[in-house]
Amino acid sequence: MTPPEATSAGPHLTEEESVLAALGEARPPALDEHLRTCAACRADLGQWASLVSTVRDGDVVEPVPLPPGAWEAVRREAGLPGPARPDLSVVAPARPAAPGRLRRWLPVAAALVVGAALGGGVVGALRDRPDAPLAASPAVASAQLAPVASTGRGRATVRDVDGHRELDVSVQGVSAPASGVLEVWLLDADGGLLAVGTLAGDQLSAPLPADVDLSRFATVDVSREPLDGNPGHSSDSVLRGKLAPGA
Amino acid sequence: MARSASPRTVLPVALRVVPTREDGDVPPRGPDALTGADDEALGRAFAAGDERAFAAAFERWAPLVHGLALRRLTDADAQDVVQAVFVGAWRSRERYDTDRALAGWLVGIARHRIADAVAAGHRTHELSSSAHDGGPPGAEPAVPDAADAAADRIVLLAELERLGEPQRTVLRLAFFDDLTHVQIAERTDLPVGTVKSHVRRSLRRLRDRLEGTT
Repeated sequence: MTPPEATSAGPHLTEEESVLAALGEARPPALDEHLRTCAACRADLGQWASLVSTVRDGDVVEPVPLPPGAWEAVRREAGLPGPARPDLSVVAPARPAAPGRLRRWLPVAAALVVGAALGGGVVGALRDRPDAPLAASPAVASAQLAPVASTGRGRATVRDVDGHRELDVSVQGVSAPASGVLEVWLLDADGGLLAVGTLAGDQLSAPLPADVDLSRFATVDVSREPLDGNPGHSSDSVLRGKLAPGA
Repeated sequence: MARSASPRTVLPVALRVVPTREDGDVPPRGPDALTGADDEALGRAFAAGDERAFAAAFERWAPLVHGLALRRLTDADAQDVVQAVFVGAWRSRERYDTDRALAGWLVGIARHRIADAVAAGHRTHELSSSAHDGGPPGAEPAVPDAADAAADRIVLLAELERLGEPQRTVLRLAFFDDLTHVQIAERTDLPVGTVKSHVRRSLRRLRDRLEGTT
């Protein structure tokens, strides 16, 4: 509440007058006269002056670096997937890893739910089918899969089956992690990757959509994936090979 | 970037695309554009749920929040506070008003977290001191004023940077060059009345924003 005018000399300070006074500008004697008699205006000026002095003379907080792993802890706690990037050094050694580069996952996670529900059924259905029709289809491209780090081998074949393409992958000498799967990916040369599906045992047959450009996504990659809910590549590639036309 | 033909347009059952690249999702300047993005762009991306913006915000301001927390807390507690601040900020990012400085908003959250941690520390202290020698509880020096002023200053400076021009320049000259409004008018070729108005409105805005964080 402002006191009645009768008890103070002159009109109350405008906000502009108050602000300029708080910044330390010289003020006319009439303002001083009023301030002497008006507690409300003094309080108001005091608040502005406090803000000004905080900006001008306030304590400066020195940033203190956090220990390594702090961001990882925050990321995990916030439920974000890691910056899942396979090590593409075999395929594209020139690509620099951008610091702090994360990718968007939400649509992927949604697609994964559908894919997991339907894809498992498809793989199961394919396994129940006789192999003969698939094997008889002509191979349009194939790749020998070589070990990335240690051992194992495999083969990837793309076939035309009834007008669409199927990717068949078979592996030997590699194993899924204790609680996880072997997953097949198609990689392009600059970091893009398509998840094709998970191996059932040592086999996978999965349909490829017509729009997938195999001249771009030319590298078949098999990775060990923990079942941790993270749809990204674990960076733990075990086999890799480049598709070439023909069988 | 030659990524126009996104394979994401087809999602067959057994094939999903990782990662997605939506148009407009990735800034045209490249994957680490946010590292150099101005605070405003970063704040908008953060509010929109861009995880890269979250990472960039952490990189940019976690050390500051850490420094603030260390004024009142031990190393371990301060690190916990930093984590709680950023996780909490991310989870409640819908509540972040992009007109405000993200740094100021984060510091506002930090203030509360630090106060909570200090209060919890006092409780622990009271328990332990009464268990041992019955020493006076709450004997630790409580210095909220200095720490609060430091937090205030971060908010105010961040909001100062969010002022448009010429308001930002006008206010900087008033604050840091100690120029009078008449001198600022001479320096900037703005009318005296305009300068006075900018100073008043800008300071009012800073004050309102500060009050919004406490």
